[in-house]
Amino acid sequence: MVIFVLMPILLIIFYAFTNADGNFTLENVTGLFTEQYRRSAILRSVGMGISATAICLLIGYPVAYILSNRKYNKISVLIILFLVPMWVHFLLRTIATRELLQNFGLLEFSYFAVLFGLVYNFLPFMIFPIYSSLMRMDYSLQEASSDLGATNMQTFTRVIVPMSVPGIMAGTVMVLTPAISTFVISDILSSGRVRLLGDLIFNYFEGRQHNVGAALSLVLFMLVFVSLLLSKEEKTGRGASI
Amino acid sequence: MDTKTRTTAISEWFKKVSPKKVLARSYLALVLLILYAPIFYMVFFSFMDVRFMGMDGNFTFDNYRFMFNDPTLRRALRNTLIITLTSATIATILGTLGAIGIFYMNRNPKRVMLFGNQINVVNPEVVTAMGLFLFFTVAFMPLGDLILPHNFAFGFVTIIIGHVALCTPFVVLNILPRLRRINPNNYEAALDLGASPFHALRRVIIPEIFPAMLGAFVLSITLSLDDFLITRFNSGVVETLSLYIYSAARFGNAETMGAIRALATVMFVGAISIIAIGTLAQNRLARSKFKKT
Amino acid sequence: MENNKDNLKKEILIEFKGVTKQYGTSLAVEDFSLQVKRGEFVTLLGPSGCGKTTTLRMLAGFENITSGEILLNGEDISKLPPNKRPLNTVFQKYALFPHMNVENNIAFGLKLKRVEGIKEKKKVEVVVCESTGAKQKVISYEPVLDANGNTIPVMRKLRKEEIDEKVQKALKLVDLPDFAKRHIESLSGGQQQRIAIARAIVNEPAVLLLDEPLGALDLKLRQEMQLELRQMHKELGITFIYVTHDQEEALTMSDRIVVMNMGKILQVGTPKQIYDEPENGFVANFIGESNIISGVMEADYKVTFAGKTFTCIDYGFDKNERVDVVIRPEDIELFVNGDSRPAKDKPAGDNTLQGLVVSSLFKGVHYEMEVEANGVGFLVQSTTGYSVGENVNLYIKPDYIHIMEKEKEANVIKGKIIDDDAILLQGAKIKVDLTALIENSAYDDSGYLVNAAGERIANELDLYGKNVEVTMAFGDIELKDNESEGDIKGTVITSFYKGTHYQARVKADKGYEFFVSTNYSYDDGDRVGLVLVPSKMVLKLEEVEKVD
Repeated sequence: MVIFVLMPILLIIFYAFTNADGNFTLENVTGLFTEQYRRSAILRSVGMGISATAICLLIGYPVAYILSNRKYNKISVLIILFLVPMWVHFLLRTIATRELLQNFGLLEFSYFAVLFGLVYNFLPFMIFPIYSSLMRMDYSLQEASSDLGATNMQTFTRVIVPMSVPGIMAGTVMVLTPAISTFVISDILSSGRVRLLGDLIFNYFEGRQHNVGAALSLVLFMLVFVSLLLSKEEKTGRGASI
Repeated sequence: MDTKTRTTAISEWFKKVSPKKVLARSYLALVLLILYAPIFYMVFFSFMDVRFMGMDGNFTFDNYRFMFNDPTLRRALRNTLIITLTSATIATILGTLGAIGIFYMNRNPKRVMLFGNQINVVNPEVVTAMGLFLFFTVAFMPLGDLILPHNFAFGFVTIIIGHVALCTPFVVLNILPRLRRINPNNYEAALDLGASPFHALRRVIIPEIFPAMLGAFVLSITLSLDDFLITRFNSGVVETLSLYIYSAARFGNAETMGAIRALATVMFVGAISIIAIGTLAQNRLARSKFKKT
Repeated sequence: MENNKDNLKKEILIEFKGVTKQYGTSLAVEDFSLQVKRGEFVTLLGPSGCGKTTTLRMLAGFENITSGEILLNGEDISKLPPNKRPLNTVFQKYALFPHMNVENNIAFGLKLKRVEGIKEKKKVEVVVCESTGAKQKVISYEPVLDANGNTIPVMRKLRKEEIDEKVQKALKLVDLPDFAKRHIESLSGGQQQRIAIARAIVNEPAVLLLDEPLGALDLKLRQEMQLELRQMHKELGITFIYVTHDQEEALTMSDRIVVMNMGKILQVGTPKQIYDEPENGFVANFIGESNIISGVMEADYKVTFAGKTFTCIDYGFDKNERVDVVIRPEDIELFVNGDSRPAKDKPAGDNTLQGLVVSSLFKGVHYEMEVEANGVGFLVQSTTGYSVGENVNLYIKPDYIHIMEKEKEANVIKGKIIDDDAILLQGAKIKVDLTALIENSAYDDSGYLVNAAGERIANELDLYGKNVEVTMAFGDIELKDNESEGDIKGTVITSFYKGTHYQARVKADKGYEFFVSTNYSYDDGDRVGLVLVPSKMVLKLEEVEKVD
């Protein structure tokens, strides 16, 4: 396990700081910031990823909430309906999305198409963790809240949402990571017009410029690593107050 | 009916079907509609003899006929089956052993291992793919030449290793919570009763975590099936389903696009049947358990 | 008289009126009626599934009621959502918010509260201490005045300082003054319990509801908390409604106990009443262990059981009426011949049985023994142990012999079939449906009983004149003040309150004694008419012994 986990990452770091001849260089890393093409791809990726995550949260939270609420949903297997599409190959789903958007003439708007594709593909990743964190919640907490005088809205904002934060965090990581690093979705839905980090890595890989690709991969990895550390920090931060 | 009774009847109806409930359910229906629209769109046009979906056409089974007869697709399908089943099996075994190992570790190495595992789970696929590619190029190629001269290249082995590397962390993540729920005394009791550690593992621990292993295996299959990037970076000349679909999407002709739609339909129907059977079986199991107690 | 009634009304804080809760077809709580006085400590006691928690949850507002009314201060609150009811609950598993610390948990209700006040402006001044030079913030509030210089009345939030003060007070009350900043997960079960109580009482509710709050604690802690809760109840003067399945807890804490089973109230009374005078076998058994023995009332103060006549303190039963005798295990004294027992205890009527010790077990404080006397097994608890096989005397003081009416679960009346659709019952012709008695039978258009082939069957089966047994629940018979409105006429013999309703004994003119549940009180000797609802009758053909 160590070999397959640690080695590739070390190799990525190694390649990122060397040139094609294997000599040490900072070119690849500084290029990330100096070259307009790469810099804008990074910013675009982050922007698209954050937007897609936010939209997924906005759409997904109410879905998870309604599904987990006994008042609105008495069919406990309904959640499965939201997971079935995940079983269809994601490339097939993306192709289907492309065809559908094309039919409505929406494929022309590349950014919209890519955003739609991201949200469409990763929405279940947001719904499911939130749903399970809401389902784990003891119903008597909601009763306690309303017993203490909170209206339904106050119970929602003061008890339900804060208690589903772990679910929101998990959902965010699960959507943000693939959304930032996606390659296929932007490639298929914008026919290469919206270039994201993933596309760049793929292109440099195809063009056998492994060192630049490794540098870009390193950026992605650092982004994810930092977000993971932040979510850990949040947890331990809370633990420290105990 | 006079007006008064009519209005009370209507208000009664509204009381029963509260507007909030109607709103909530319509919202769910809308989201589901969006989720399923592209798929149903595919399913519908899988029976049409058109180049692009949305065009007028006639009902046909040609797409299915082509799907079953296309040699490239058949080869891709066969390769994918081999890769998926092999890597899911290996990942499940490795992940289970890894989870058990991590579970019985001391506090600090355990935390390090869990964090490493976590990184792998959230690590973007493209990074894993890139890393593995570099790894194979650097470490395996010369080594491969030594062991299997002139015979080793990117192909089945590299894809399978890649998929195992992709799936194993998820398997670990699936098994660990189940291990936590096992009464720790069970294992000790088995040892106390004279079982060897291996025997105790096989007879006591494995049966308890078997459902989680099954779940992890299914998850591995979906991950491996869905993977495109790791395969693409490490495939060499091997055709797989993902690669076939991708090239069809980018450069496909009418026939391959039709086959893609047929394939989507088959996968969708297959997914629904598997899930339905699974749910039914689970319900029956739960009911029979309920009866016993 | 009027005045008196008004006073009584003021005293009554909560009133359940015929509250019923139905889940699908099953009744969780049936016709629950109870009045709770201001400041009272009332315990709902019963086994799990008896409806006690459902009753509490209906009062708190977590469950809708199917029918009936719940009044608080004379106003129906049963339609209000929980947040609009001035009641607070201590939950079974505490239900503390894990994402907040202790302080924020307790302050949760206070932060939502609005109190009457005037519009004010917060003023923060920084004062520099002359001697030390340290800066200190001083917060003051100034009333905002309208154009005429008057204060403006508003519903205002509680100030932070007010909340802090109340939280501190509540924490002190539950004996955890330094726990404000602690995290919920770091507390022990007992501490969480206290915080849950503090969170509820800090809102100064009219009623505090406690749903098995001590169930998760170990015995020692539980006993400690029982005392503390009792103390708190005295100090705060809040009405407590307490739910438990632990009879000991109920007996030690409550002013009044409501014993429930199968969704119904079985008895309401003070702990002493419940313990000493259980109204039925269930209560007797549930409240501690009891010997319940069949006996016969020979006369007033004389009861025969286990083959011997005892002196007791009960009277008013019919001569030779079959009764149940309840004796607590600790109320039976054992001695062997030769033991000296204080002579003053010895009553005139002896009250002693000879028995044999069948089993004996030391239970830490006392011995628990089974003693067989004249074929009846007695459970005896005593600090003196006797060994198995020993011959002992059992002495039961008259005060400890409790006589219960033999429990009658339903009216069983004998009748005769006189027509295809009627029986003669206590001299009255009552229409009934006989199809239930005979398989595959039905009524044809002209009202005759026919078989599947449509043939009349009454004669063939020799139905007329056959005896039937009619079973009717107490509640399925209606009483009419005007005797001629009833199917059967009779006289009320006794009528007593059962906690939720009255139970009347009505002697029909032809002799049968009906038990009837009714919402109205009748005086002894009242003439009434009994209406039997045909659909509620359970008919059974009387078995005729065949003479071969």
